Amino acid sequence: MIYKILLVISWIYIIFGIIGIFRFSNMYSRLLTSSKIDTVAAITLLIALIIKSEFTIFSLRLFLILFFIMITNPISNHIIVRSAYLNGISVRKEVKK
Amino acid sequence: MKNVIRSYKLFLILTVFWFLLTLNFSPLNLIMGTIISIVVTRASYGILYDNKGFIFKPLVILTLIKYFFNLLIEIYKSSFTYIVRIIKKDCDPFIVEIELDVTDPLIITIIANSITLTPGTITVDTDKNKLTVLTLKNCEDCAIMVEKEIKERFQKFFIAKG
Amino acid sequence: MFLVFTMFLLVIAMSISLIRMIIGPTVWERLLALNLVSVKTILLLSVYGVYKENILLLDISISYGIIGFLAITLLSRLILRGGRQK
Repeated sequence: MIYKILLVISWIYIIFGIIGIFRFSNMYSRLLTSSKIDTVAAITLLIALIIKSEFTIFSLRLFLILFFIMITNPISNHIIVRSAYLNGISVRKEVKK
Repeated sequence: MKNVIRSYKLFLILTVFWFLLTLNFSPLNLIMGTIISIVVTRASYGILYDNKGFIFKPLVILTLIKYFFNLLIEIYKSSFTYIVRIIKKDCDPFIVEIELDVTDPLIITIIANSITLTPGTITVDTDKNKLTVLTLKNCEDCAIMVEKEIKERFQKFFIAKG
Repeated sequence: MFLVFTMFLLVIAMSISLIRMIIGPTVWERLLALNLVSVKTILLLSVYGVYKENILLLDISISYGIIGFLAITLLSRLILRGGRQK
């Protein structure tokens, strides 16, 4: 029962991730929005699948996939933004500390 | 061979991961896993291990587990505020420079990774213990506020331990 | 039933982010769309593996994850160095 609620929450996140790609006009906002909401959707959906397939070999393997996503997804987002920033695409407003 | 004996922890972790990923206990698979683990441990001599042992300062496992659950709570809390921001369509990115108090490269890596994992902030670049963070608020005082927030959320776990 | 609808929604999301990849004005938006498609491929394969109760599909999803991560990292490092003409 509880995994159905988590699946519905992950649908909401996926739909808002798609809306966020087309709604903003600045490039950095698009980068921030879509990648982040997408990561939360992935985590929620994998937790729902773990709860559905109780204590079997499936849940162990799904936990490995969750761990893998939580490590590699921030690195790929970071490296895209770093490549855009060092190439001189200007953020609209800069505030130095 | 002496290096392999000295770094037995890495060897154990690699073997456990091999059996988790294959799930097959025939004798050929046992021999294959042991040989590959020894080769990888020997090849990563200069990277993770040194003459004196482990290069980075080791972390307590209990701290990491507590940190992981805290991270999950933070991710969900800030994703709700982010959805409200998508509906209202206010989005104005700017860049803050933050100086951390810790100097251990392993802890800095963990903190930068979890900053990128929470919705709304991305680490752009690091230089020693100075992070460049791209964030999303549009008032004047927010540069100081973001810095305080990050220090309070993530850094206190590693400071309190010593 | 819920799993089937999840797969349906994932396929729709992948095709819409493919549109973003076609019309995106800069290179980095195309990289972003590649990242989205790669993560959704992992999710789609794991949901299908649970639906069919076949453990080998989860192995395939781990290897798809490694391939997508390497592709994004290497492509953005290539762009950072200045492309091919340097």
